Amino acid sequence: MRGKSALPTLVHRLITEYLLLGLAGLLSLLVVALHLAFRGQFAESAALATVIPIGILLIGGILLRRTVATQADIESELISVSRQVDGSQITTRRLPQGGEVADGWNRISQRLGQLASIDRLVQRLALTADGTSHSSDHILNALPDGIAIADRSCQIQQINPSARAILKLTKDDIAGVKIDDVLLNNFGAFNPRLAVQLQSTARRTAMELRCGESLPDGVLRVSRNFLDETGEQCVWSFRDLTPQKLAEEARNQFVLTATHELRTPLTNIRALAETLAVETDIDVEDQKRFCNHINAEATRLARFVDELLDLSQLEAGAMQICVSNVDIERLIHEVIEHVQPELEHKQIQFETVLPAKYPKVQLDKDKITGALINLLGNAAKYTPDGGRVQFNVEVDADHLTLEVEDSGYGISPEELPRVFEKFYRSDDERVRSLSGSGLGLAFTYEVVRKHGGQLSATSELDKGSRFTIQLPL
Amino acid sequence: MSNLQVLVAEDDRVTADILSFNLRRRGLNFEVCSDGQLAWERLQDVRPKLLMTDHQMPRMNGLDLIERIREMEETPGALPIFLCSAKGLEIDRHYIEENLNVSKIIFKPFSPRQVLRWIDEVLQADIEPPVASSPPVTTVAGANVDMQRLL
Repeated sequence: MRGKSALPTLVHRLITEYLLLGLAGLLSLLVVALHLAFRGQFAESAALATVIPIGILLIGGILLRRTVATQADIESELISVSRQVDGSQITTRRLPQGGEVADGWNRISQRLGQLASIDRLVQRLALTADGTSHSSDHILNALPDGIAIADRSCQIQQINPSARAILKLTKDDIAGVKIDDVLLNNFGAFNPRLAVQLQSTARRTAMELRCGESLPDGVLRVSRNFLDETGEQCVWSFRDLTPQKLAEEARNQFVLTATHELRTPLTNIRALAETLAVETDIDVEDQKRFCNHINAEATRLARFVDELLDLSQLEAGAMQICVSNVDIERLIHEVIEHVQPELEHKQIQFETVLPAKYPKVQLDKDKITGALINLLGNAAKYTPDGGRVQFNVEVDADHLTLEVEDSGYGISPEELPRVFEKFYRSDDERVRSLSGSGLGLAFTYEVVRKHGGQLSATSELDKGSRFTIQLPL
Repeated sequence: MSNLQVLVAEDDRVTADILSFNLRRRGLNFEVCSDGQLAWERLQDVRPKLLMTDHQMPRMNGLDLIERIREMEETPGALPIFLCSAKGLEIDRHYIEENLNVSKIIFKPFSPRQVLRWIDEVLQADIEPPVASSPPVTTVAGANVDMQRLL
């Protein structure tokens, strides 16, 4: 031990230094006193005898101070430590370089500093870890996807509310509940391969499950991943794919519809044109009728093209509304004129209840015209010959209400909530047989919404429907 | 109406109108029903030489109508049938031609003159029994190519 051999203890040094100094002092005092006494100079000897000890004491004091300077510093540090209020946070000062004692102290001080920063780090980590676990629970609970953690045997260890809802777990207690059993119970009937799929031992598996006989009953994507190499724990996720699947189906349906929509008027135009061109001696009445047919079919095509353009706006979600002061009375009469031919053609009884006076309204004229033509056009289209269509316009202090009521085929309660969806068309054969893109109401809905208004519908199957646009004034 | 030659099932008024005009001009004895259900009901009373039906119709569509007819027939395929469709490639041609024994699938848009020629072929074949009532597949394929070109 370098310190032990190089440096005697403090007491040892003090004693040694003082003894040596004392002996030297006494010896010199004795020599001087003897010398003076021998020469008979007592007065000088007395003066020396006073000066020398004081000198020696002063020198001793200085030496002593130097000897214990480091120790004194340490002592004052220790005192300051003892006075520090926060016992967990010991702060010490580094001493100026002064031999091994100071070195030793500095090392202790450095180590204490390190320990303190480790302490702080640990505290901060603990805080963060606490925060993380807290927020990860929150995140898990707020996720729209179902998440569950289960062991190798599929027993649930942790599960979020979405997963509970998807797996139809109503009980709070999930002890012993196994995911594969739950899946088989709920969806096994509609997914014949499910049992086999669940037996997969792959690190990750995924499957799409039907939640019922038909698509609207729901489609679920279930995936299972190992949490680590061993597969002792797995994370299961459950995502509701129903809206996407319905949208896909609607889109496919739209492509079929679009084909039909384009081919039917084209067929008629071609057949009419060919007949007019080839056949001779056609009655003037027939010729006129055929030309009217061509006109109507071309209009039908044009309307479909308009709907395709509306679709592109709906798809982009970027419908631009361009408002201006609109003469609403004129707009309404234009709309009525537009649908009147079809109503007359089907001998539909058409009634209007219009206000005597119209307020000034700021609207996008073209879009609102399109929206109203959609509603009245639908009423005419889906009402059998000889039926009834009523168009009411009401004005009060805050609202302009436009209402289209028909005695048509009506919409079933199951289908009514979906009629404003893009591409959605009723499964009713009477509706399917008529041309339609499934875009008109989606467009109307978006137009009304963009005007800050509301579009609502009530309907009864085989009795008729009522669509109401309410626009703020 | 035992001498009914063509029964047409077509829900589109304009298509029905122009077909009627052309059939009348050709001097054929025909009737038009505005959906599959009406055509089925009419077929209980009359025996036409040819049925020409649209594909998509209200109440009973063309395929359902043909299936019913084939189920009830004493001699399978006895009634020559034309199916008129606005659908393109998505229809099951094999099923329609082989299983349902449909003589011809007429793809829209069609040429009335061409349709009348096909109708004539069937009606004449009916007068001369030895000729096969359903035309060979090559003719149908040829017709399809023709339609594609005209599209």
